[in-house]
Amino acid sequence: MRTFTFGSAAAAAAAVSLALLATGCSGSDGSASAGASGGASHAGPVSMEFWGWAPGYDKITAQWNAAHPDTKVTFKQIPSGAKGGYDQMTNAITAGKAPCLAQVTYNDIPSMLVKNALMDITSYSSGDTGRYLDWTVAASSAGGKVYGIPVDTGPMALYYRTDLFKKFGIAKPPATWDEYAADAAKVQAADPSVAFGTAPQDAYDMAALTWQTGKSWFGTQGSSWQVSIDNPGTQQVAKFWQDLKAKKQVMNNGNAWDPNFDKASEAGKVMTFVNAAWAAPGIKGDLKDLSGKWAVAPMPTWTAGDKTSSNSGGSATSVLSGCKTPKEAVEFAAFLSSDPDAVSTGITVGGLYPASKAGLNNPLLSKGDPYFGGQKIYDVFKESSANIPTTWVVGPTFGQVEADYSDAIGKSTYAQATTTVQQKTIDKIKSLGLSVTGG
Amino acid sequence: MTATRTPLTGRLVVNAVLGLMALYTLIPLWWLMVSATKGEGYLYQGSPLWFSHFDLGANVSRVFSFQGGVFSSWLANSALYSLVGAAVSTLLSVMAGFALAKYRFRGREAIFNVILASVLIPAPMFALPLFLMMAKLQLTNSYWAILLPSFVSPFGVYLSRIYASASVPDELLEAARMDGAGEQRTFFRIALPVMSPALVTIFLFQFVSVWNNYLLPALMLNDASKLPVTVGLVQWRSSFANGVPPILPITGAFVSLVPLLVAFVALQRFWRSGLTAGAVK
Repeated sequence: MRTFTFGSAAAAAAAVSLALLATGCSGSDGSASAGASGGASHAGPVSMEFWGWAPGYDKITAQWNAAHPDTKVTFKQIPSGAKGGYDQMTNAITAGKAPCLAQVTYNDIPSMLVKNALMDITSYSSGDTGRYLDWTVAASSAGGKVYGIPVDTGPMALYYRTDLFKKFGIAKPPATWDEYAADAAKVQAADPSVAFGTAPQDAYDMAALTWQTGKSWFGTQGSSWQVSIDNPGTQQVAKFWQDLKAKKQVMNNGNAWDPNFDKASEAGKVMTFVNAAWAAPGIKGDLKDLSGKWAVAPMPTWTAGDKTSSNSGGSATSVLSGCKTPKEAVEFAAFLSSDPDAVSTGITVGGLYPASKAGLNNPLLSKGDPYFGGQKIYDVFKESSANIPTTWVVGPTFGQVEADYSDAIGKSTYAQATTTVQQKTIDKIKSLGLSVTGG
Repeated sequence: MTATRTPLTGRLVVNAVLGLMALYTLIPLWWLMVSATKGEGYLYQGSPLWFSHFDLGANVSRVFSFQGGVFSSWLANSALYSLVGAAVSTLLSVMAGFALAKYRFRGREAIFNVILASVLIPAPMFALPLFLMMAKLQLTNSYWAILLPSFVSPFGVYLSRIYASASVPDELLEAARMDGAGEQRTFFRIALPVMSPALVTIFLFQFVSVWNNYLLPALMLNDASKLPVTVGLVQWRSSFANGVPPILPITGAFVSLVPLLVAFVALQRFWRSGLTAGAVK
């Protein structure tokens, strides 16, 4: 497997504050058995902490505790990874106070590996990996070793307003991006104040849209990272959305969960958005008044008749370095991902679309949803899930890519932003002391 | 006040400007209050500045039960930081201000000038240096990381000194000393009661500034159970994509105003008399 060097990484990469936090904490006594009360042999009861932010994890943890009195897991809500959650984990590892279990998104597993934060759990989980979608297992592994148990995925779809489609005389949701653009133009001609959809806001959006083209932002060759953020797929996406944005046919101030979007939505000023399955509970909760007016269709594709979809987000449960009870930790992670009741809780509370193959047959996923006019929306996501390209590779610096992309999109065109981020990413990976090539 | 009366038009203009300022300040608060009452999922219904789908009770109970009731501990933390911080800093400020006003010693003006200078530097500028110091002392992510900095209030010292020189007559202190009171007794029994309006002012100022402080706790703390309400609400605000309903930070912000309102209403009387007492002496 690829060897990651930690020393140079920490020094150059982490923000000053982070590095200092680490030094600040490292003095405290980390040698005591923190978190786990087991010792080497775990004959007695075990207790572990689990840090995460996905809605529903607290309830699933309670379900586990009810069924496993000897293996107590305490869930701790932390800010989402990009908002400081990962910093908390790495700081806690340095201080010897890390939890055994943590939520890590597929996007960030390589970055956490670079920081030596994740434990190799191959020996505890190898028999199990067949239970999860292949690409999620690949996304949670590196060099043939397993670093996380996949929990959920974010199959993409087009959410659209049936009432507004009727109003503007659009018979069916766009099946291709060409149709999408044509519909957007039609709506603008009828009422310039109505946006057909939402423009990509950040690296998550750009990544999901590029993923669909079959191109990848990263790759590996031997022991070297390849950065290909600036690839023909990304540029195709960039050109498409730049055009719509320039013509003001899509709104450019927020994703489906942002107040701007909600407000526009209530006013009937935005008709669609393209996002993952986990966006459904958000609009259901925030826009109760629009019940019966939303529906879900497959994500538009680049060629007619094609079904290629994409993915946005999704997490695994990882065991953090220093955990003294990895076996029990992996058992918990497997429960979280594949226990039928746990999967049900994830779907209802968090809209977590399961990564476990058995979970895809959860009865909740074949029910009609009154909010979506009785539509069985998960049929759409199931097909989407089956058509996600397996070409996507995640790089070792997603936090940086995310920050730089959001910043660059605010200042320049998507195409320019892509070129900028390509170069910044190469520089960043170099500064971590890893081998990298562009192109 | 000068005896000359300002002309009517002048007064009208002034009042109009003041009225606009008042509106400008009050509209966001009004919006917050109205929004906090709207039912979850109906936040964007109706006019932003008028009530619809009234459901304040459910919102408040949701705020207090969400994520295992973490909001209550945020409120408790804020109360702890503000009350203890303001109480200790008031005492320290009054002692320092009194000493600077009433005792003569070498370097007195130099010390006062340094304190005065630090009044001019905005508090957020100190946040990062403080963080670095606390990291060296291994106090980050502890209650002390917030409490220790809030014990210090340069403005409080400044105000105490001005107030002490204006309202504590030297003769009074002389008399106390003649009667055999020691310096401690003189301060606590004679000077402190005279200075009580200043105490209230300093306490309120410090209470509000600690309660509203965001940057320092955001830097110092990463344990959700130690956060004050300001940082906690911002965490909720940044988690809309992760299943936090927008109504929660709004209702939470509204609820977190209540203790401030209580503090102001309870102490306002003293405060007003405090501000004028020095002036009309």
